[in-house]
Amino acid sequence: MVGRKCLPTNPEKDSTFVVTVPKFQEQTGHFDHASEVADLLAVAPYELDKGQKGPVFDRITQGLTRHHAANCTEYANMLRLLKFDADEEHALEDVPFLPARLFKLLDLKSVAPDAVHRVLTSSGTGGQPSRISLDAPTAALQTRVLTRIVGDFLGKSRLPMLVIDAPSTIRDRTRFNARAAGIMGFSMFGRNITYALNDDMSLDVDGVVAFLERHGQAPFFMFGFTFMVYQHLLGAGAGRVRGLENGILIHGGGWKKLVDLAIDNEAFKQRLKDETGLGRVHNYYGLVEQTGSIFMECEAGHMHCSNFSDVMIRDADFQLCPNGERGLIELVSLLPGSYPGHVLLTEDEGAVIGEDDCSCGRKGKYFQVYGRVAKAEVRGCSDAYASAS
Amino acid sequence: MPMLQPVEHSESGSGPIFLLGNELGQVRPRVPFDAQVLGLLAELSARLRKHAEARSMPDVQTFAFWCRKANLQKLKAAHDDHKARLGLGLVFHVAPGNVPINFAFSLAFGLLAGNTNVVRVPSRQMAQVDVVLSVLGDLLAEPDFASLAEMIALVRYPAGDAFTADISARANGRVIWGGDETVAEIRKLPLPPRAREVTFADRYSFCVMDAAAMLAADDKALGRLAEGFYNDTYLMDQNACSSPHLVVWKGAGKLASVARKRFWDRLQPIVGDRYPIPAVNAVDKYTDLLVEAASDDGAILNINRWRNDIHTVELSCLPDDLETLRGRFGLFHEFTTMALSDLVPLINGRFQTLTYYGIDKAELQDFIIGNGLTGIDRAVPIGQALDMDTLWDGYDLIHTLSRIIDLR
Repeated sequence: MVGRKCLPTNPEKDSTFVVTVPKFQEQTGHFDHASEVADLLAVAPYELDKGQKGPVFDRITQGLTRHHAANCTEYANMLRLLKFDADEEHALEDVPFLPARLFKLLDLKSVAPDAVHRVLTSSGTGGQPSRISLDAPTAALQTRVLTRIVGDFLGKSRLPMLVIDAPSTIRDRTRFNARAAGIMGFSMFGRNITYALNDDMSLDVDGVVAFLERHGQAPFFMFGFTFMVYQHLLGAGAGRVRGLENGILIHGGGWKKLVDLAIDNEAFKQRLKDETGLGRVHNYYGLVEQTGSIFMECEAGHMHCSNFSDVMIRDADFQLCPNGERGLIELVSLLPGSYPGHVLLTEDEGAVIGEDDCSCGRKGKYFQVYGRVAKAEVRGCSDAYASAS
Repeated sequence: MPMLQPVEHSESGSGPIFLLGNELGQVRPRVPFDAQVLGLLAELSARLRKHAEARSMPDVQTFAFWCRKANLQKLKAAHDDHKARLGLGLVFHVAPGNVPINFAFSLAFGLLAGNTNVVRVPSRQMAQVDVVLSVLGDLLAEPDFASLAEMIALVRYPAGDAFTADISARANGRVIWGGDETVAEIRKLPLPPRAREVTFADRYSFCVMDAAAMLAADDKALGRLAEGFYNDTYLMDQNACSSPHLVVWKGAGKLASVARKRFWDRLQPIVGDRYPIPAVNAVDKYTDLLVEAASDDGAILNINRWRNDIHTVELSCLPDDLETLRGRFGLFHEFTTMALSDLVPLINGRFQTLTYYGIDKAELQDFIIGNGLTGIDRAVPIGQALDMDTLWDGYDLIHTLSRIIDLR
């Protein structure tokens, strides 16, 4: 296993955190989201332990809850009817979580319509797409925080980047989707961006060989959706791509298809290592509703909360699960300023493994994601035709 | 005399599978409540009640209890209108996909009315269907009942198969369960001009409780009431067409709020013990609740939650499109009123079952009939919402599936 300290070119690593710890704002009546989070940006993204992170984190989430309650009528209605008074002090676990799915059903925003800078959409699994309204400050925070988190794995300088996808995926606007958004988002960490697949989704062997001849002797960045990596580096491309020893792969987009193929994360990584030489592989997990504050898989195979995020696990009665117990994943992000998406309940299953003591050296809670919670068989009498088809 | 031939299907290779009765003979209707038919159903009842696997299935036991000999005799007497009747002939039934035992009720209604029945069972395999099928198959192989075998065919095939069109074109009657969408799909396929059709569309059901009666109930009665309410709702994830989505409390506001609390507090441990809600359903229920809360325009007085077991939305007024107030997995709307007549303008043909407690029959009769409501086909005490019977959705299924011979 590659230890964290062995990772190249991360200037953050050696800075003496203790002396650079910023002076977080004194608590005042006024809550300035951007500047509160900016203070956190001055710290390495995985450096704060529970005691350091807790008070800052609580203050910002509380500020966000109040801000959204004051600026989003729907959110205020929900809090009022759930008998939650945002003006009182609350533990984070008591802040009402919104099902992430709510953003598919309601247009929730905490800014005036003309302040909306961009609307993120994602179809997820069928049906209505989520609509996430970003104002300029929230969009900027997302980029800055993503840069900090990914930088912890890739280093600060841009690396040559090999995208495990076809150029047409982002060229064709009619196919603009989560895959394209992911590629565009992560492209800011790369240079000499090269696509590994042809537009017909076949492996561009010559192109990949040329990339490796130019860049393969030093660390380079690889990015792709999990299933694309599986299909094209391990499946159709099996045995055709080697010499990825210096690659650092970041992949995401869900395990659903891989679960169907009965391959787990460990087997996936082992096969990548055996068949391509690729040893540094990081899965990432996150919601389009909390873009930016993603969770990265460390060298020990654990998903990590950064300074900007937290995770809680709840059982089917929404009670908190102790560490190790499997349940629904609740995610907290400090970034959503323009929509009330800072505390969300997913429909994924996971378990918290520990906090501040992962063998990779990063602080914060670390956890495991098992994938989407099983669909239940629903009883009732009105869908003979639908369920029979 | 029409003959029913097994239909050949070659295009998909996955045509209908006859689970029972692939060699249907002549279609020869019998009189309603034919003695042999009663004998078969009574024996089916007796065997299902002794069958080891069937005994573990509450819905199969409900069916078996319903078609016990004594009840069949009662039904026979109740349906006797002193007219000469015969079954229609060939009746095609489309059973609902998510209520496994309904195919058996539909088949029994068709048989009791005197018909030859082709029943399409859900394409998904269900243990309840398998058990009834196996016991019924054994019975029909016995000499006593062999002559009834040609009146029963159970088929399974995927939606969209040409069998539905073929059989519909020859049916004297068609019974469609499964709601609006299924009815619309199957209605595209024509029946012969004289054929009759019974359709079970999407319906809306609600509950009325008298607050004073609730407060007067002793603990035992309250327990029975809560159990009955649990059976009406949670047993079917509140998705059955006869499960209530709205509870109307009749009485003064203060009285009603005490009664309400007494009732839900009593229901909660029952739900907690017997209804382990899957996480995904808990999220669905919570999402439904928040969508309503988010869009509240002042109509919501309160949201009450008994853990994830019961959620209620207390309303100060009811919307014109009352039937849009729905809940799943134990999400109920509540409204308090002094007089049922407040509801009159809101009731339409979508309304099916009214379950009640503490309201007398004369008042219900006045409410439904006296007001000339276009909806509410059933008013039954709490606990009986799911009790399937020959009177359903406003139909008398025995009479609808048989014809009168005017003999003078």
